[in-house]
Amino acid sequence: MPLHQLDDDSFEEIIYDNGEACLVVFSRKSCHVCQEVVPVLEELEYKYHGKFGFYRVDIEEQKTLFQRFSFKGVPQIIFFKNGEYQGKLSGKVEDEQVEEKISNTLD
Amino acid sequence: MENCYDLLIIGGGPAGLSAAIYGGRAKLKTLIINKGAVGGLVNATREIVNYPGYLKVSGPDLMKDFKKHAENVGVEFLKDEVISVDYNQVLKTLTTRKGKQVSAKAVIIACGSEPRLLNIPGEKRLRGMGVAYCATCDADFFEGEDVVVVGSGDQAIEEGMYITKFARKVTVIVLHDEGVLDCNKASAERAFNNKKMEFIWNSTVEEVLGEENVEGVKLKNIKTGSSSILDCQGVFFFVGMIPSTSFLRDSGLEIDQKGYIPVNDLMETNIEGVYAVGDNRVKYLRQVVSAAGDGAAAAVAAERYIEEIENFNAKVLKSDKKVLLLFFNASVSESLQYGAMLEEIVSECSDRYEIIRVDTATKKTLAKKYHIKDIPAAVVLDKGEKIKDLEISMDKEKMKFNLFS
Amino acid sequence: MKCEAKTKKIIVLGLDGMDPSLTKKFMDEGKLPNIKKFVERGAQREDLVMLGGLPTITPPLWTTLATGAYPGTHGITCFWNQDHDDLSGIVYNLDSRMSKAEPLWNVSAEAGKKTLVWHWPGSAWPPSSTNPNLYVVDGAQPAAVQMSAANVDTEKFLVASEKIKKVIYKPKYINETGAGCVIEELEEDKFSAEDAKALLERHKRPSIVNIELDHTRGELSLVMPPYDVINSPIKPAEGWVNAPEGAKEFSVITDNGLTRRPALVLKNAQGIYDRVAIYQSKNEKEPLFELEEDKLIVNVIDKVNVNGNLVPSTRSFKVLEIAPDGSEVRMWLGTAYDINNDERWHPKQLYRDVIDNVGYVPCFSQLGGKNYEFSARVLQPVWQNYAQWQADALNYLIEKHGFEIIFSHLHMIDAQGHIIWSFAKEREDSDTDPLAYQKLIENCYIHADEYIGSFLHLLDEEWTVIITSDHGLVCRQDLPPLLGDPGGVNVRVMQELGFTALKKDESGNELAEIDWEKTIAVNTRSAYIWLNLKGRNPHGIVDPADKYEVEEKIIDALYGYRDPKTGKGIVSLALRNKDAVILGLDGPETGDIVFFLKEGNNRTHGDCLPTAECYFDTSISPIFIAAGKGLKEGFTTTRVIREVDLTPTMAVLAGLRMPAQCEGAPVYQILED
Repeated sequence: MPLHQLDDDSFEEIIYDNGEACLVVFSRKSCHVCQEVVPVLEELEYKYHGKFGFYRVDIEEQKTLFQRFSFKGVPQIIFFKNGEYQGKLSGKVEDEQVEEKISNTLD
Repeated sequence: MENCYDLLIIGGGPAGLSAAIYGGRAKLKTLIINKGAVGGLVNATREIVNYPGYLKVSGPDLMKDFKKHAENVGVEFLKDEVISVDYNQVLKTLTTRKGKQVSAKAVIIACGSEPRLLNIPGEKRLRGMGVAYCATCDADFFEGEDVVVVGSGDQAIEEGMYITKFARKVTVIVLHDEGVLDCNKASAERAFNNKKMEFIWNSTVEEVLGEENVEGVKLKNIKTGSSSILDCQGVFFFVGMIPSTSFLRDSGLEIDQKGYIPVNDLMETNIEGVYAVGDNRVKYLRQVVSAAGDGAAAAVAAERYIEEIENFNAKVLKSDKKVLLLFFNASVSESLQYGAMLEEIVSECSDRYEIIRVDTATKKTLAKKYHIKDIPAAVVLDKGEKIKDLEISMDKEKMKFNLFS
Repeated sequence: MKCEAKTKKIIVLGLDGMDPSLTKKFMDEGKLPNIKKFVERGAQREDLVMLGGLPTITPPLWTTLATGAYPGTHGITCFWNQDHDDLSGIVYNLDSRMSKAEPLWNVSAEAGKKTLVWHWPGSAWPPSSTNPNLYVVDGAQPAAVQMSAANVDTEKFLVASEKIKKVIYKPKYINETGAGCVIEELEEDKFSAEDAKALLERHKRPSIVNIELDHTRGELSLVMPPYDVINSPIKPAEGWVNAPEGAKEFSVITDNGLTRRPALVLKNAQGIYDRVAIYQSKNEKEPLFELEEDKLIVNVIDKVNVNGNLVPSTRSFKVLEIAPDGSEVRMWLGTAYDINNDERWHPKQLYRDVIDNVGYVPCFSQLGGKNYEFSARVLQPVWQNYAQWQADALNYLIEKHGFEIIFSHLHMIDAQGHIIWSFAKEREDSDTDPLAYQKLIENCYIHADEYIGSFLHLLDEEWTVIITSDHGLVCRQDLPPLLGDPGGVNVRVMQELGFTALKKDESGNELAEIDWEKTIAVNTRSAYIWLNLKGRNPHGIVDPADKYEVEEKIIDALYGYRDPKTGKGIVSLALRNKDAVILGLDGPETGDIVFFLKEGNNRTHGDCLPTAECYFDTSISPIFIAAGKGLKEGFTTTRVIREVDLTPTMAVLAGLRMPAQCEGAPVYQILED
């Protein structure tokens, strides 16, 4: 299932107001690495359903959100819990790395 | 059996997809297991200008066509990663990361290659913060900035030129002496004429520098041994590829020192029914067109192989009588004479044998299975099990004795 | 050489950029009562002038003040030094390891005197003596204590409004217009965030290449460094556990865009919105802190998210406006400092001691420039607060630790000088009010007077107090063609003169890169020209046999160059390296040619002779006022006092030996007989 997409408003609401433990992947369509990483997250979302949130930001569509974090490349996966940034994973990542980061975030 | 296929292809790049198209058209139940996006590394190629029939096409577009073609002939796709293989049985079994077990009569390995990492300090830490491996993905983040490209192969030089569209300057770090690049001549010429491109010769990158973002690289001149620092905001590594074959390490499959799989003209590996195609095999040219050719050859070879084992199952293993496997080759006249003689003996003397002729020109695997080196040759089987090699003689009486004693 | 001590305790109150001309002007107008008292009780020149060293740039001159050696001798020759392997490269040199001269503080510490070096931006950090009598605080950049190591988040300005539709966080924004801080979504950046970041974090880099291509604008004409801008909608409070009736909400984004603190605009009993409350999250019952309009709140402790780690840090706030109906809030957020960072304190326990007894190190601000409101309501009060903290800290250390020799530095005047001085004059490209800015300059000196006044009591406690500076600052006339900017390679004039060439791309567009095959010489940094010499420089084209002739040609060309706008020459002095010994600027760290601009062509400081004067009675000269033990009282001298003379004068006063490379002479005339 495609990941839920965030925009400026829902980013505020979901990441900060709800404080849900979650990750947000910043990606773009023209990036083949993103095309490999996003499906990994889609698979994991199923596994973590109800325990950990998975969201997506398309940097072409949400330029202000992308600019805010001063990223230098995609994909970037950023992790949050209780509205606090917990770290990130950049570039090509395997599901073990994401799962490890999720379990650190949930701890 | 749900998870049982005729043909299993590991990898969804052009080699795997071509094999699948041939497999599907031959009515083999075919599955592609692919971990990333279908199309593989070709997706990272902006422009392909040497695939016959396409004057100019983008990598992802060409792969979409391949995939559509494969789906059209009934190929199934599984998005998963193969982590271990068991090639010891006639029916080969693969286990995936998600714990799925799939088996098939023949397997084609088409898992390609991946960018090599240098494993230098800063490379991993600054990934996505200026360290990049894909120009299409990330080049425009370096608008007006200084970028370093490491490597001098086709990919390094061509991607480097693409990056000059955005960057202020692209400095290529080359291992070789001045003027020597690993890439094709046309690209080298264009690169030398590109004013935004500069070259630093006889050098390697020792470290990527920067706190939060890349701020520079530490270079080492391999001739003088001296180190220097070059300021930049981005580093793209194109230091070659390594075959993605590490999961096959303990499978019994022959793999060379660099990780490539040696094969013959039929794409056969050292294990029967297992083929290797595309970038992960030992080969001269790694292009979409040659990958596709590999895939076609392997699929046809696999189809024959499957047909052989099916025939064998049907006729040989299930026969009530003893089976006389008679190996012949039309080019060896002695083997034809010998065959005729054996048939004569069996029809004259007994109904205890059934003769099955095996043409060694096409049914190589069977010949190999029964260790047939010279023809004529014949093997006696009982319920599929070999009970003896028949001693060969052109003397009819002697042969009778060999058969019935 | 060693004399009998005339005093036991000396404090140098160094005020970066303090100008004797402006000081005298405001003092004579009765606005600087404390400085007046020092002058009345002290011994100095009538005009308070000290003859400045060259170039008129911070790190070389503070090094000169501490060593008695000329820049040619100590080797710190500009804000950056020359990268000898690449003439376009410059090397950061606020680093004591690059100085070749012995500082007086090492001499005093080794002589058994407890010595404090407080944020001295000239070869002070890292400490160059291991003597336990030496105490050193920061000094790795000029701005303020802690900025070089403990800053974990950039200063910011927030605009929240009911008219704003979505949250925007624009990191490292360079506001050239001076207008408000509402970001239009598709605004094209002239500067990228990366450029801005590079500007802000230069002091962390060992070396840079900066090719300055603008014909007139250089580093010294940038009046406001980058800062982060936050825009947020204001909406009725929603989803809060404990939001008062009628409260409205907005978002405060910090920490490189990673952290959001929800905030409420609150109304008073009369229904007027007059407070802002910042919360950890909407689920908290109580806010982290509350802010009122126009009130500077310093050193609130909050956690700053640094790469996923929560770092306890200080931050300061000032709300500039809360609309009475709660529809708009505008507020400043200061740089955040990691409160546990004692990296730039030697010995480290000194940090704990100071913050426990005086309070956390407050931040300073760089907002201002064309934006008068920022200049008047943020820049100045924030610096005033910082100066007060520094005075308290120094007085605490004097009282509790028994220091006998103190070298201290406050950047306040220079820091504001770069940001607001130029607006004291009417500007074509700006509708700023010169009189209002002149008043700000006056205020800045009043704040300096308050700071100096905090040390007046020392005169009655057997201390010798020396008030001095590295250089003054001018309110520039105009922007002449760019030559002698300290930030990098000044290309255009040298290109017009045919000495410097740039590379071009395929379509013939210039690249920001020197074409060494065609470049005879470059002007790098404030005052230096280097020839591209065969055998010395990697791509040298000038034959060493022709060096003399080429230098002569360049010197002639510099004197002959005319500003296309005015038709007048802009270079006042140009000398060969060997001849520049008369200025103390010979040697390997300066240039093949040393040159300075004519009076009236100066940007702020750094590019001219120290005798230059300019609009609104501003001048480049540094100041010298000395009072207290060992000095004549109420005395004036006509003796020319040079920057190299401070160290020998202090050595004589305190009975210390002269530092090894000292080239100045004691100011005998002011010493008590």
